[in-house]
Amino acid sequence: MSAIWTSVREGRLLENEMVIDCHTHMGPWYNFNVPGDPWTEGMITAMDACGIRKAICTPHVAIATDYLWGNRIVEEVIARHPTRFAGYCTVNPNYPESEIVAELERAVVYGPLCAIKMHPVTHAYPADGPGYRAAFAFAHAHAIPVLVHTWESDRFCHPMMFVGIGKDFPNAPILLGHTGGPMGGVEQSIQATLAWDNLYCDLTASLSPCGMLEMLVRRIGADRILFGTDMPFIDCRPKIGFVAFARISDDDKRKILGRNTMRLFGL
Amino acid sequence: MNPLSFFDAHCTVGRRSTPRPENNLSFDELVEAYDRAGIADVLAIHAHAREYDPLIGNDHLSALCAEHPRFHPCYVLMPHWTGEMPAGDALIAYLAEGGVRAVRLFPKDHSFGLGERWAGPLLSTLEEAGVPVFIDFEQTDWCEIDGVLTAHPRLAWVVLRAGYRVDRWAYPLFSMHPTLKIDTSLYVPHRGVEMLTERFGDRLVFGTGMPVWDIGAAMTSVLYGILSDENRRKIAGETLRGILWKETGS
Repeated sequence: MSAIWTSVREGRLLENEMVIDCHTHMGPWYNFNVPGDPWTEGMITAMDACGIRKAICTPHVAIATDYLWGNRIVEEVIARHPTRFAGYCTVNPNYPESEIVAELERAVVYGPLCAIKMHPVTHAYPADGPGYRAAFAFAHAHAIPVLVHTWESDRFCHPMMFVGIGKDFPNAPILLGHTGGPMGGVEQSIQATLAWDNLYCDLTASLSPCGMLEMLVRRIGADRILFGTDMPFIDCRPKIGFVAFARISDDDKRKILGRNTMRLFGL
Repeated sequence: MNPLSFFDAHCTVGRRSTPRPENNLSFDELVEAYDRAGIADVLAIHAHAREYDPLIGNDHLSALCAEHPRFHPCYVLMPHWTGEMPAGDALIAYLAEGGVRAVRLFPKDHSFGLGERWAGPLLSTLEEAGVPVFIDFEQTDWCEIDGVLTAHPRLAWVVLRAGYRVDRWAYPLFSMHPTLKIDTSLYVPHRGVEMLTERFGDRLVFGTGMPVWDIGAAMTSVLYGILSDENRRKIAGETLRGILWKETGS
């Protein structure tokens, strides 16, 4: 029996495990109600309820209207809670490349943000389009992770798009956000991940298909899978159970829950 | 020891039309998963009842549940108009004979309407007998649910896999319809379980969606919920146990 699942089933926190959430947001969202406090304190309350030590965050406003404002919000949060939050420098390719490069320099080279976030759907721009290449090149040059929203067969961000991107920017660890979403997207993500060593799968999703994690570990290995929740877009707690209940070894669960993220993000 | 006694409101048994390799569990594997999770009771439909023929699938379900008391039959029903399904007292006798605890409707898959013209007599019979109705959200919409519960205010109505973008639609209906409930399997707004419980009381029942959806993910919404012990027990199983049909024949 898994010691991790036994603890979770008894309602105990994974206090001896390093649980890091590689995919969180912050603040309200236009499309639906976020019933709990979507800001820092509400997120920490939820994290403490299920044992998440640290969350890597891109505020909702950054993936929507104002990426510059969003980056400043997460910088302020990190200053107040350096042990609980780390941050993405989100970029919007609809704005000038000069502005994006200057923001990356300010926030990553001279600031506290440790990775890059791209949301090709909300910004309605293809992940392999020219507007994103400067940011991928920056990540390649500095060897920092890039988290990209991906979704099955989406014209802006289907997982197979990253076969080419992974090849072009091999020093940048690229996280396929949501592992492509539905199971068809998971299959596409597996194919892409098998093509290039710098591609990784992020478990974040509202859907938790039975047997998916076991299949993912079997086909790409636990070293290539990261725990993420999307909080407060959705609740953070289901994904703890998703990993804990899986029929994989506790050592693989530890890699997924935090060790891989610590390694990739230099935490 | 954890005192929670989980009762899964949402399980499908039997061979399905489109299983994936990773979730194509045999019945024994399904039982083993529930054992490993520590789930006490399971309300199940049979895949044949949804994807082939309700009467045949319901018969298979009752036979299976008779051998496995942890599994409780949830029959799939349709309106009686075409003669495929009994009506009125004959329907209630059919449910009692099968040991049924609840019923499930698939109006989109089975090509009928939930409006009074189509489902009114069926829903009236279930309302009168106190038989709870379960329905996947993908089979209906909030306007239709509002219509059903306005016409049948005593009907226990549980929406499965409602989703996380639903509060602006669902909160007004929770305010208007005291018999409306949803399951937890895809109700995953940020701290949504706590907020819904605080505002509307006992409206959540634990559900997994097995074998398509994961047990562990469903359980941690309840296990790690910031809830009183009483509310945690209710969501895990007590609320569901309280609405299940208890008649055994009439």
